[in-house]
Amino acid sequence: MTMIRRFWLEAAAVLIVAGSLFRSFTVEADVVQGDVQRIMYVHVPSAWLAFLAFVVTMIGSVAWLRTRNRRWDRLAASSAEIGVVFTGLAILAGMIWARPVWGQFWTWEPRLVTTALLFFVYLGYLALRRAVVDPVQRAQRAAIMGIVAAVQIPIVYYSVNWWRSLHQASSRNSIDTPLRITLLLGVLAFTFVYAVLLRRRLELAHLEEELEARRFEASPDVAGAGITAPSLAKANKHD
Amino acid sequence: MIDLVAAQVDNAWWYVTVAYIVILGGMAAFVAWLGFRTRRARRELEQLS
Repeated sequence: MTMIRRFWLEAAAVLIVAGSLFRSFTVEADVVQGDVQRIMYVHVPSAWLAFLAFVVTMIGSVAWLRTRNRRWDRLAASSAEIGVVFTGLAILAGMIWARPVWGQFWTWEPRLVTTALLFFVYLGYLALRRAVVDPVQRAQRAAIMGIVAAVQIPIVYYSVNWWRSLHQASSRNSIDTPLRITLLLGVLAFTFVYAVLLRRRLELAHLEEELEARRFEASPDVAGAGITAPSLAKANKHD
Repeated sequence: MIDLVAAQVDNAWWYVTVAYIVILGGMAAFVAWLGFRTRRARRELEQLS
């Protein structure tokens, strides 16, 4: 019973992902692109998951600035990491799809460029978190970046409408029902995957926070000393 | 136009398979990495306590 309570979300995610994959391979092929269009059923949900993760990062950042509760900082950091992974995966799947339909893996068109920028900015967010030792300063700087970086989400989303180029515009309203159902099932499956990953990543964030506190208790002089400003007084102590 | 695109994508299943392997493999690798980091953090916590 405890196992069911602990792993129900994982079990639900596995089932719905399996159902989504089955549907992706069995639904009829697109009339224009043929079977290669099936890549859409993992490419779009990956991008959706990344957007969702970055919105949660923004919510966590705003909530941390308002409450100063560490729980929100953990949420923002955990969600950003998942978002970066899935932005990378969406880009890779998109490149594989682009090769047969555009004739090349990569082109400097607005949707691709803004998505790549989104990926690198959130990679910078994760790098910033690793660069600051003080937990409060880290949370504060990351929260500000988490809010500012979220400006890119609508830019990436609407880039296909604002600057018409190679990437197709949103086909949400024009897509045929069987294909739309398959896509929505994929989106639902990836939302479950996000919930599972977030739960796991939050557990890790909690452990890392505890570990950081224990390390500081064990040797308060050493913790963070590597990045403090050089001091003559300290240097002279060794003379 | 339809014939042109369809002709280009005669090995479509190869691309589809690679894309699915990338996404599902990436997902599995991330889960494994999270598991590894969690185990390592637990081990270090045990050593410190």
